[in-house]
Amino acid sequence: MMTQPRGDRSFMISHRATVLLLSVVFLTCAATEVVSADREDVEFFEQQIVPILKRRCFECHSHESGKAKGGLVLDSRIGWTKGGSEGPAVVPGKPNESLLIEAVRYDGYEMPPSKKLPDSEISLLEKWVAIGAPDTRKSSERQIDPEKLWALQPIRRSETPEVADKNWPWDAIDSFVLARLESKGLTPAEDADRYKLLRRVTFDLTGLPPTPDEIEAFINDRSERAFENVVDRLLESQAFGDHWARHWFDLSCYADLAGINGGVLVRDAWRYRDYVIAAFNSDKPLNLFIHEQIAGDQLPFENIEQQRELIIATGYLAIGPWVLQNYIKGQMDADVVDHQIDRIGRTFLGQTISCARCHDHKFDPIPTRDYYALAGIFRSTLTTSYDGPGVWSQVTHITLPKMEEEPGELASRGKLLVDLTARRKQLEVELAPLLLQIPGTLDANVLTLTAGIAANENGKTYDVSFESAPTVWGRVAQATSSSDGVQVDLLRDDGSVLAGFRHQPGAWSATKIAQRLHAIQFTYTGDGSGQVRVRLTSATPGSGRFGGAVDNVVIRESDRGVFEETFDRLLPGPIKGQQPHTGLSVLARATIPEWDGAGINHSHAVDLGKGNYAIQVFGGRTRSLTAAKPVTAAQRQTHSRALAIEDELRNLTSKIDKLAQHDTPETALAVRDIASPNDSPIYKRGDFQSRGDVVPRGFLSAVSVSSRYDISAEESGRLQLAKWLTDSENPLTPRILVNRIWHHLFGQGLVRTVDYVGVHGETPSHPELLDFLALRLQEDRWSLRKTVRRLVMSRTYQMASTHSVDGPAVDPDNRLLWRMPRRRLTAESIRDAMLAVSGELDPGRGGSPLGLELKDNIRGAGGNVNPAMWGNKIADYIKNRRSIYLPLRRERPAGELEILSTFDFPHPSEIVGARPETTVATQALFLMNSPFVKHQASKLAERLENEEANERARVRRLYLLAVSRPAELNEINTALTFLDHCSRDMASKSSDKDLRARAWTQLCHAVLASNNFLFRE
Amino acid sequence: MNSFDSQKNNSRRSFLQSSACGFGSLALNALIQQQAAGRQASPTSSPSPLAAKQTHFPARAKRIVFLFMQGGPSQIDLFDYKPELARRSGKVLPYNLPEIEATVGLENTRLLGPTSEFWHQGECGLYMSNLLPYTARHADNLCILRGMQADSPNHPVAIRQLHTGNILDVVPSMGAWLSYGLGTENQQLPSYITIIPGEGERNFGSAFLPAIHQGTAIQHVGSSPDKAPIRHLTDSSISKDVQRRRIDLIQSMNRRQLNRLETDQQMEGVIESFELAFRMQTETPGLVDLSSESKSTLDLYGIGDSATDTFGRQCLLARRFAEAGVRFVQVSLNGWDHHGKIAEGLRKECLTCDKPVAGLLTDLKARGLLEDTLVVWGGEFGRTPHTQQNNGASQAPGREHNHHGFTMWMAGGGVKGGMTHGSTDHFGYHAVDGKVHINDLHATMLHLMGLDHERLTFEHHGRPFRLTDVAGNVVNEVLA
Repeated sequence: MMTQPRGDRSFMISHRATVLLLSVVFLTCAATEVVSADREDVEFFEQQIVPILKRRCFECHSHESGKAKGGLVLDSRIGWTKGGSEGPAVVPGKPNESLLIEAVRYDGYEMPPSKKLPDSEISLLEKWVAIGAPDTRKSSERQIDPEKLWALQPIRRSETPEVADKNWPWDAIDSFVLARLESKGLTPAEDADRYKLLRRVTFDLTGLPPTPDEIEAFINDRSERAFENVVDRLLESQAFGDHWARHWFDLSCYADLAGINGGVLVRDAWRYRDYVIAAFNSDKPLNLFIHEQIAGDQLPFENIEQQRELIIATGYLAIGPWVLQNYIKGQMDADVVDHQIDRIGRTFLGQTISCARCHDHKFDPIPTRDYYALAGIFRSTLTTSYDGPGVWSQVTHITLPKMEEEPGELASRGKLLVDLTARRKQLEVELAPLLLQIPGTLDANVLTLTAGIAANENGKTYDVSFESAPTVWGRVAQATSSSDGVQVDLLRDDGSVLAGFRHQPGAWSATKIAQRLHAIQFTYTGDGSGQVRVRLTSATPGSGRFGGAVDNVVIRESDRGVFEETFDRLLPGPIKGQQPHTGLSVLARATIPEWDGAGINHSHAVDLGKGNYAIQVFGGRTRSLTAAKPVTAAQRQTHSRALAIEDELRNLTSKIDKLAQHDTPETALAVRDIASPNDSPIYKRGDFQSRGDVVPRGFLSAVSVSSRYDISAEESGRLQLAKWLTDSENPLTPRILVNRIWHHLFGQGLVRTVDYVGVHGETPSHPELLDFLALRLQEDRWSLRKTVRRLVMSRTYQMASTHSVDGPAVDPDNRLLWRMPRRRLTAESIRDAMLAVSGELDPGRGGSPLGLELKDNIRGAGGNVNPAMWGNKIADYIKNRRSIYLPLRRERPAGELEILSTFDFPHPSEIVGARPETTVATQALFLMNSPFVKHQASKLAERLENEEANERARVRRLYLLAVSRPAELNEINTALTFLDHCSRDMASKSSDKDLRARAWTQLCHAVLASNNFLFRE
Repeated sequence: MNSFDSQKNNSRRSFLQSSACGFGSLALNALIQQQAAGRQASPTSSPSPLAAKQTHFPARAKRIVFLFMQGGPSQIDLFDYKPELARRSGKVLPYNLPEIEATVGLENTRLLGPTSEFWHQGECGLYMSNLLPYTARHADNLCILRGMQADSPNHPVAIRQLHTGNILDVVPSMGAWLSYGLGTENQQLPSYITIIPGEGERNFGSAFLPAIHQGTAIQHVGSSPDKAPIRHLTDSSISKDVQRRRIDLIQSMNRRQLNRLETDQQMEGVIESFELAFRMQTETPGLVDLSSESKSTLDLYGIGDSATDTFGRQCLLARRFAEAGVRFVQVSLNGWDHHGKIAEGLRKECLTCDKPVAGLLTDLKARGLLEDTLVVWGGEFGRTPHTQQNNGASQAPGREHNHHGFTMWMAGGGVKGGMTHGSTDHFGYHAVDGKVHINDLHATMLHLMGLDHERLTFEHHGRPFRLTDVAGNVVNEVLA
């Protein structure tokens, strides 16, 4: 093989390229050329050359060994004429231009890698090439006819089949199903009873159990339309979107956070989540849904609301998973494109297009050219960008146009903001001197001039100037925020503030510009109340943050200087660290003559060189205000006032932040076209550094439609791709979509390999039915709601899930649907249903799930050196919402969401059309011992106690709530006996008075952990 | 055989004593009996997914103990002495630092010579740091790989690559691959155990392989009874009697339902899983109970000394699992990420690491297990020859991450002892010779276990996947 040097190999991650089987190879190259050669030459080849190739090369380059390293096989003429990733291996007649010869000479490439060939063999090979490389061997590859792949055939309309039992079918679906059953001598199961049917359809459509009222209403509704009414009610409920959006997210890798450790802050992912839920709840046609997600930014809109929606929809392409900290950006970009192609290929087309990243697809008719035709579209789309420093790339965010609002609203909000800000300022000014009067709260870095300055003559104006810069003493992580800064106050003799000035230069995050010293100036008018003293503090006292450096404080009256402090006489302490971008040293425990507060804890000085210093003020306190120890009555009074101010300040700040936020532009995670869209070269063997032919942008060549979707030079081609995907002649998309819907309602697809319908995928159990549904989907204007409605209204869906004698023998996998499959509830249904049953389910919907307003829920300042991380706190107002509204880290759900991963919830970075359903002991442990289930059980027991006084009635209600049917007599008796035994057990070991209530908790727990609850029949 | 707690009058005692390992094996049995139900039909005759399987060719090792040194141990200070670096310590860098590697704290970076003393050890004369005096006694068993390479200098990315071979996709970890390829020697135990794994379940997950192959995490190794070794193992709020009663009710409800339905494989699976879960919760605490081990064994691992107690317990537990036939045991030790004060930090970390690791080697050797147990030691990458000072010039320097060249070692089953393979440049920065990429390491580990990394595949999404993806070469030079 033509190995690449090891150093290059790291770029060839080519993670989807594993293909070892060469037995079935789709050949796209031209037919084997006819070769004429002298008999003598042929003999030489067969006797001298073939043995060498066999002995030395076949191990890695032949069909016999099943290996084609570097893409090269040497067991046929076509093998070496086509060559490997570096092109043809042999140029007949030209040994010096043949890679094969170069390689065996160990000239550049070194083949075979283990040991150089003996010279005699090398010369034989050279001779063979020189005489024109005669080779009579035929390729052992065989071609597969794309015409034979069922999924690529046009969708066919079939007659509804004739069936023997004409009374059974309610819909064409039923005829298709029954016809196949009858052909195998099977009969469908009886109709499901009403309780089971209601539970089934309610879970399948909304992910929640029916309420006792809903059960009662359905049981008592004897009208013809009873079930239809239920279905319509469910389809129109918000819960439908909550549940079906999750099916979509299993395919679209949704997560609220990013990064390999799953906690990097992404503030806007939820907008895409809410978009999808709203799309399902408004029954947005699925073709439009696809257009918007792939190319919403290129679609026309009628109003701002729609424009916003279209931008947000492209979050589908932006959401990840990206390895944003990948250090090789070229590789990362190629991986992003690859994921986008892979996702679209599997989700809509059921194809593993990514296999063609490194070589022509080994089974399916997808040449590498097709891959790079698609890659051009996504390379022309801006999904992430990198602007350094640090290793982190950013996901593209697009500013959303502002919703129009009433003119009055804006003005009143503006006024409120001004008022609140003024009030805050007032309180802060009041607080600062108070702090100084309470022992133990003294800010560690308040510097106060000990002697007074005569700069307070009545009515005279003074001019104060100083130099300041935000700064840190060491790590970049200690960037400043926009509220950081310095506070310069002029104090009267009694400690009250005569005048003050706050300098907040804005957030500083690792840019050199912000490091410059700024000259600041302000004026004040004296009131003649005596001398003044200067005080320097942080603008955010008590925050534990650095305010900034201060140098050269000067007070002037007209042109006469009355005070100057350069800080150059300070006595520096030990070197504490270095400012990363200025390289200046920071000195600890500086002592400054004539200033109080110097030398304590955090008094730092910046060494500006040549005996020139500035001092840094720090917003730390020795301890918190609440921990202060006031001694005198006056101090106590001051202390309580200070506490009250702090409380009010906290309140004000959160209100101001909210208002300010209202005015900051909203952004969405979204994509857009790059400035100059262009076609992609083929990356040979998937290596982004090894570029081959440029391929015009386009789609899969095996799926041809009559409409033309030309991509102009100015656009990426996403819109054309979206339209091609949903073209009425594209046989894949509608088939794949209806098969997915079928899967979610019947537990398995008509094609069980829901994400893959290629050569190695499954063929449909009911091909005519699949096509019938695919056509109906299009005729119903791609309506999800109509399709779901059609399926659940069928008699097939309403069969019981009971056992039969013949069914398992003839069709053990129930592929022919002789009964309705039973299914365990999905992970999020188990959680949501437990909350619903216990009465704890919070109906709240929508909005950011991250609770960023919670203290410490944003960690780190952000930027691309150390991006901000989420603090992992789930706000109380989110906690009991449906699972879809909970924050999903980009990792296996853990902590409060552990229940999800315990029950097969997919990793958010995986594309999983059909979740595995495992049964493992860890699930039983979770159901028995986890705090979550215990808590829901006790809430359920409380609920029952409140709702029913009588214990028998209570058991009945428990069953109705949890398993959607009335309890049978023996179940009631078993439950009551359990309560007796259980409270007796506890009585012997516990002094708890309310044993019966605790026994009820145990009973509820047992029901929630039982299969009655966990399954829908 | 280890003696089971003789005080315990347990009806299962005789069973336990007759099993290959006398501790909590029944509990672990529960784990291995996990069955993937659902769509995988016709189960009756299929053997356990963990049944021992044929190797591709004769194996040199039957099991692997992987000692994961999280954070990136400094090869330069431990195993890869560079005289030129020592000579030029404090000088400016003689090589260009790519912009992307000029990270925080490297503004005034200088070369930094080895921060520990080196000495020759063993008959092979291995030149290694004196910070690992106990490990040094096994020098003649160690096969030092000095040319290790990974693809990323970023912890989570590189850790994922080390565990799964891949930096991007959700793919199985190497332990899961081994479990899938070989099953377990002992049907009483899971085939893949990871002891205190820390974060990142993907690093011991099974991804698309059946869930049974995922690593079983042991979360606590201490003697405290309050801390369950396995998550949600117990419910301390109610008595055992009540728990049993509750399970009995659950099971009776489940059976009644099953009788009505006549048959349902998945529901039967649930019933079974509850019974096993209850047994686990009573039996498993014995798992981590090291009280049956002799004083000398405990001492060997440093158990009882504050510096080595926890890691020593982890290593001893690893030996017990290895002995009992677990295919892949991982022990993780975090704390090698020495961006600052490396001289001090490394000393401390080595103190924690050295005795337990050496104890494990000694113990395996004494029990005749080392010859068919492959022990692998190393981190996700190594460290740079140049300094890093995140906290300013006044702090003692550390080193930044380095994936271009670093050191791991192997010992035992099928590898040559007392040898070094590969080398880095004069400064210990880039591997130049005998390069071993993570994919090559994986290929070699599988090879030693009797598996061809190109043939150990799993069909997923219509194509075969493997641990080494499209790369990986067995490092023949190290095979004994």
